[in-house]
Amino acid sequence: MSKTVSTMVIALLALAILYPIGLVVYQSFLDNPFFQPNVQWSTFGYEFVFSDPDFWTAVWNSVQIAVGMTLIAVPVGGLLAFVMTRTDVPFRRLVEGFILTPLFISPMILAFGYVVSAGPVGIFSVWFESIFGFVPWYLYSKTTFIVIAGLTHVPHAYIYASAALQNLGSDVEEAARISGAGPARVALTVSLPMILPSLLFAAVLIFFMGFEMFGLALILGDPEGITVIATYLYKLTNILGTPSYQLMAAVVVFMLAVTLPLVWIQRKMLRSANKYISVKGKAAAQRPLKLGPWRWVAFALILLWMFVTVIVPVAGLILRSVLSTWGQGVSIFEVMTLDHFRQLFQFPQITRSMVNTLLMATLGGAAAVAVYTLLALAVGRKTEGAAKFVDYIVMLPRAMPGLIAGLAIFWVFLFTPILGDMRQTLVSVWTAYTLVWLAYGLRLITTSFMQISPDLQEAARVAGASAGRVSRDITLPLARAGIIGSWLLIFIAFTREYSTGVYLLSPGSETIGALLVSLWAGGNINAVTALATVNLGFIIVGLAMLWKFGDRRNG
Amino acid sequence: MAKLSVSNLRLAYGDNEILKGLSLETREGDVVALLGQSGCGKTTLLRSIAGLETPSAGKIQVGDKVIFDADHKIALAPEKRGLGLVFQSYALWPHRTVFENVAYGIRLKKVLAEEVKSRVRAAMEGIGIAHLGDRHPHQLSGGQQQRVALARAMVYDPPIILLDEPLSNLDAKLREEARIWIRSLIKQTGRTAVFVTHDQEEAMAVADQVVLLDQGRMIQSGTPEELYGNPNSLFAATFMGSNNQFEGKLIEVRGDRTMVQVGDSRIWALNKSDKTVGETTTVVSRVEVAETSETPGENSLSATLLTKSYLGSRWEYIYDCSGHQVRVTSRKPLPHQSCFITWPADGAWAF
Repeated sequence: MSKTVSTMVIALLALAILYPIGLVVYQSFLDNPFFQPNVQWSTFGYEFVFSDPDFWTAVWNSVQIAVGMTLIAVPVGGLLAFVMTRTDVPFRRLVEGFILTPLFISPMILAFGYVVSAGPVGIFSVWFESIFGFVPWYLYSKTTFIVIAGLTHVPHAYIYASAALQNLGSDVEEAARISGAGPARVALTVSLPMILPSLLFAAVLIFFMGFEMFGLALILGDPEGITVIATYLYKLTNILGTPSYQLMAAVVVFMLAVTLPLVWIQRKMLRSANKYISVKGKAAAQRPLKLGPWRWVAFALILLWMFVTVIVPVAGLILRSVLSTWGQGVSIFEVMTLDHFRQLFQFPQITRSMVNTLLMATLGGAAAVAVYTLLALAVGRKTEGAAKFVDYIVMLPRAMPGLIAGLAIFWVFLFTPILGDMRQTLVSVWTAYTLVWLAYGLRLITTSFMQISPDLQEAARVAGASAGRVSRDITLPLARAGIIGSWLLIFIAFTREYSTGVYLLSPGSETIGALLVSLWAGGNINAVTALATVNLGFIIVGLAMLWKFGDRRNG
Repeated sequence: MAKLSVSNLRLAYGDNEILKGLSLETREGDVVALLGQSGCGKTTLLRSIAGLETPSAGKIQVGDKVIFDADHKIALAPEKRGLGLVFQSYALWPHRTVFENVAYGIRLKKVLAEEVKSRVRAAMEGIGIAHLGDRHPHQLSGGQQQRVALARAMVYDPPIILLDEPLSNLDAKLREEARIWIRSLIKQTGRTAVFVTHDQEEAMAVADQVVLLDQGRMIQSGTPEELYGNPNSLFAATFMGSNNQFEGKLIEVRGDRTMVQVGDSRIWALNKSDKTVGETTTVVSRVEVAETSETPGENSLSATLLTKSYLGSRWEYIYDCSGHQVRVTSRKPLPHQSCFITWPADGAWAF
């Protein structure tokens, strides 16, 4: 890629990121939606929102939930990582494959699952009551909510903690053992302090995810009226009778003001976490710590966690999707039916949503990966300054929750005359998805580029190839496996995506995720469970492809 | 075949100056070794010539063609310089066969397919890898990979071939063969070559001209004999070969010789500095010129044996001479515990 092309690509990136954000900030200082005639500069939006007690309740709830789930997810995830990487817990290989599943299922689908499984008349609740005579939990309380949020986010902490533990060579631990420290002392004085940066990073990440949470809160918070910032924003949409863009924009700016520093802190922390990894010892074969009979206790606890976070919601959801009705005293085998799945195809918008989701995941995912690849090539060719610029600017979409990015892109298509025609098409949805997953996708691609030694590219330059030629002949062919792997991961990400499409939902551009939100609001539980099951099916296909591909690469 | 001239090259990463005004001239058809410790700037200099680094000042010229000139803002892209470069890692493209690796450079020059084939074949035959054409790099041994890398760099007839530590990835036995082989290959084709190495023995074995670098500057340039036999500085003297070194007071300067007081004795050495009588000076002498004798003589120091070791081809003795450790090698075991060490006056330099 020549210098001019790469400069242009980076300029386009800056435009794609700064324009939507600029538009939101601009809107937040108007007294009416930007499309109305005679809009004036005003701080009405901020005044309204900041004087609304509901807003502050939502903020307080968000903080409580974010803190609560961080306090659950990080210790549990850290412990899980320690048990998995350092002890002789049984069936490690098998368990390892399943620990990350909550990451691949959208939180909204998990929430549906909890409602039909563990809600007041949920399948598991009714079973439990028929056996023990009572139900010891109430799904819609704030405490239950925090526990569920915490447990479903354990994999995020687990990933970072286990990566850090794996990178931590056993020689530093052995050195401590030889100096006279027992296993517990080694864990507390050597292993834990060395992975602390990674744990802190995971904590900030999970707090951030809790703060921007939408799906879980929308479904589980609604019955008791627990609103968080994102659901407050969602409900604000029509509060004044007319579209209340100025209010929404003010909330968005508030959210960005909180999330942006969090993203920045994460960045800093990741750097320092990596610094620790670079002083790692030699990663020799680990000798697992013998737990004795406790290994079965540990195994049972892991199973319990998986039961609560994956099996209960997913099994309940799938089961409910094949039942015509459910309630106290209903016998499962009498109400079994596949009608809900048949009915999916009777509603054109639902059929379309399935086709669209597949299109988005396959072609859209491929197009997004192409964009990320182009960007990675452009950055790779650039001097340090440009790379730094891209590094910083990519932080902005990371700070935008999907719901907000979708809203901003919706406004961009509404605001920009030449884009107007495409607002109600998949183009707008694709733009928003690509933007939301930009940081993630770019990291995947850059990682696979970084595995190519620069010598190979320089050798081609010296042999007479231009920079563009080098990308075509050397970089791309060598990164092919990494690019295909990235596409599969983006496939899964785009399939499970729901919040980004919420504001872009229009006839013709439905995606499963966004449509589920709207079907749920309409109370159509049969269609919701069936469609959510279909979505799970797509994700399983994506995961199967990923595994297959991973096997082939390793083989 | 062309002359390379580099003048006053400067390059820095941030505050870290790598090249501090480096100049260099080579003769046509010479093999030139850039020799120095790691971090002396030798690889950076090579990469600057190839166009992979951009110096902040200076000029690089190949024959009559200016490929870099900071003053006139000329900096040809690496692909426009037409040079050949052999990487330390060989940098063979793993997704291409040996033939495709070698052919890549000429294919880019829009040569007819037939001619590409015949030229690549010729290059591969000349280098002894004609039978490997269909293999992929990971199916080759280290020595074969090195040959492919060389063929790839030479196939399009670059005026100069640059080699970055070409032998460092080979094991010790293979390396000594490869030295001879590389030198004769380059000399046969009559090319100019510049190669980087940190191994002084390798530099002398392969090169016509050795350029010694230290901390981004050229210290000395000349034939291997000049560098080994007539070092111009303490650094050059101690970098090459294995040496004995003494500190002492300068007592007398006579012609091109100096007398230095070491302990109780006085020794003569070739004068290599403008130091005056009374100053402290360092005397360096190659280990192989030192001999022992039972009686004191001219240019001798009394010595007591500290330790000895047997190295197969020779014995090595370490003596103490008034606080200095002195090494002496000998083909036969030496009988003396205490003796005198002596060497010719023109076998030592005072800096």
